[in-house]
Amino acid sequence: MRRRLPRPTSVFTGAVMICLYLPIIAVVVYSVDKSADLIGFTGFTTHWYSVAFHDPQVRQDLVTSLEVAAGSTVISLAIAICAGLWTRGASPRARRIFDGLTYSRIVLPEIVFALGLLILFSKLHVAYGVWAIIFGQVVFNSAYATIIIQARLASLSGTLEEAAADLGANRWRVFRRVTFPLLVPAVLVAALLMISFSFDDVIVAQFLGGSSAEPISVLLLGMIRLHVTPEVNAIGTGLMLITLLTFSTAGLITVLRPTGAGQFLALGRRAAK
Amino acid sequence: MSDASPAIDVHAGAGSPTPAPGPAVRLVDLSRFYGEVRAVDGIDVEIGDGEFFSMIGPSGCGKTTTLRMIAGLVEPSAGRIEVSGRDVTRLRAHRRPVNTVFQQYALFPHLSIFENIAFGLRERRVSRAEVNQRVGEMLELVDLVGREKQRPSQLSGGQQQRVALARSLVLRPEVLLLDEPLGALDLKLRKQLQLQLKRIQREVGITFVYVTHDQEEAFFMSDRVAIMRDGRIEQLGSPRDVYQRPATEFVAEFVGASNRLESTVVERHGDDEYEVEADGVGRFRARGVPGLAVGQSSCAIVRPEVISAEPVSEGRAGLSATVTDLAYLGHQISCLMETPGGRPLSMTVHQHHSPVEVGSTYELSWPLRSVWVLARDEAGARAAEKV
Repeated sequence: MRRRLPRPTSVFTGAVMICLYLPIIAVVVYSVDKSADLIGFTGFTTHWYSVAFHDPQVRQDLVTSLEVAAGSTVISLAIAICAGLWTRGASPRARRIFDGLTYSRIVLPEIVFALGLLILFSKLHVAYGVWAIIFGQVVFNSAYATIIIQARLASLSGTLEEAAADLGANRWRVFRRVTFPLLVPAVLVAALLMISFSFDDVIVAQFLGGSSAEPISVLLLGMIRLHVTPEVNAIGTGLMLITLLTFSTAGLITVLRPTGAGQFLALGRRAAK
Repeated sequence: MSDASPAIDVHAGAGSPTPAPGPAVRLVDLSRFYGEVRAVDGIDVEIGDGEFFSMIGPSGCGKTTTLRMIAGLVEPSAGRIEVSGRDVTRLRAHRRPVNTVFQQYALFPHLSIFENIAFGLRERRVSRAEVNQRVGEMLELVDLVGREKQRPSQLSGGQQQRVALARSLVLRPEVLLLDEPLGALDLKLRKQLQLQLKRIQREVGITFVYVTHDQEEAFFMSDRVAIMRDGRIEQLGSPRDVYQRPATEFVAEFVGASNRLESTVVERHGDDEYEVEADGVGRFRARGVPGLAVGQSSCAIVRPEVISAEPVSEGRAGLSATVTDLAYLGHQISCLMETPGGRPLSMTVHQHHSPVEVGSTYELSWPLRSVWVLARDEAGARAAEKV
């Protein structure tokens, strides 16, 4: 029996995948290459990671990146939860308008609202720096978070909250004891997504960082402009690992959500016994 | 072990109110409109202390909306709600002395069975020792001891339903509202839980307000039932009253498939007895809804179970009809028949009754005291048939 040739669609998809992932592989490979001139692979070393790790500028910018990520994630989550709860009770018309505004923050070019914020902050005499970047990132991060939280809320029946109120919980207690615990998986997924986006963001950071704040993404861009060194590759690989880690955690949570992560772990423990 | 049944004294807790005078629940001209739609249209009811009260009717009749207004989950458009003599119309749900058992149980999936039942106690800042004791009592009452560490998703539908019940009862509410609590269960489990619910209601002595679309279930459990239609109460009374003396054709049809013979009132005897003339049957005398006028187009209700295959004699009326189909209902057989005038008629006979054959014509009759005359209302009957 003759083996059939692979289908054209598989060949095409395979080729595209290779083209897409080659650059990433190149970054990883050259981050562990002994030679500094990025010509051919001359031997394995972790030297460039050590160089990057001991570079005070890299360390400082990494801290800035973490600050920005934490700030924009927390603020975006607060906005998203409020927005999600509000849209549940909103009229269909208000809901349509609100959703339009949310999606527009994702669809509109980041460079446009980064520019807008630059002008606005300058007119209002707001200092550029970490907080300016945080607010800039909140513009798009809060939109992603809102969509995730809304999706989760839509899957929850309002009956659970009615039951809590019926059992004597006031609005705040209903939120604290029922709504929020049920939102936790969505909150975690949204947070991890936003941290990745924040680390990845160059445009807002570049526009609004001023001279005082420089996240690692901006540093990387500056370094590349001069010369692509193995150190840049090492930083890039490091960032990629951070992103991969957060995304796979987010993915794991999504997979475990139907049963609840806690319950899953409990089952695992029981099975181990 | 105590010899007496483990009756739970629901008013024994510290700080529980002394039983208030008057009805447990009073609804005064209660209404709820959604735009043009009158979901509930001016309801007046008094529900007694300790009563098992049911609201039944087809979907959209306003029974659930009424229940949700008592719970405080839907705001009335007009009218007043009193619980134990206190006006609660403007109180938010979490401040009302009533609790609800929801149709889909609405158990908190992230909490254990114990914490689900303890939820309301924790809101009331009840001491840890008392929480343990009261939740323990409830687990016993609903037969779920040993399940307290599990999650709701690990329980069967019937067990979840009992958790929902325990979660409400543990708070010792003055009134318990139940919104089709057995609606999601299969028939066998429903029957079991009906018995359990009835037993628990007797033990705790709390007023139950029960909503269902299943008239059999309501009749089985309730002291009184309200049959609702289009946001109004069509009839209110004991199950026996409603079944034997329906006020309208809608009620007659809703509370059990009945034969409705078109008739005309010929003569009145007192307030509620009439001489009527029915197609194919002739003139006969029967009791009925008070206040029908001579010449009024009416309807004689004859239940399938009172008809038997025997010729007309003293105190009976009847006609002849041909069997078109038979349906076996276990110990009974439902006979679908057709009168010479082409009208359908149904009769239920016992299994051991002399055999009835499809295609044969029989002389049928029924006792006049089992006939009930009421005003004709074609639309009402059709509305009830659709259910």
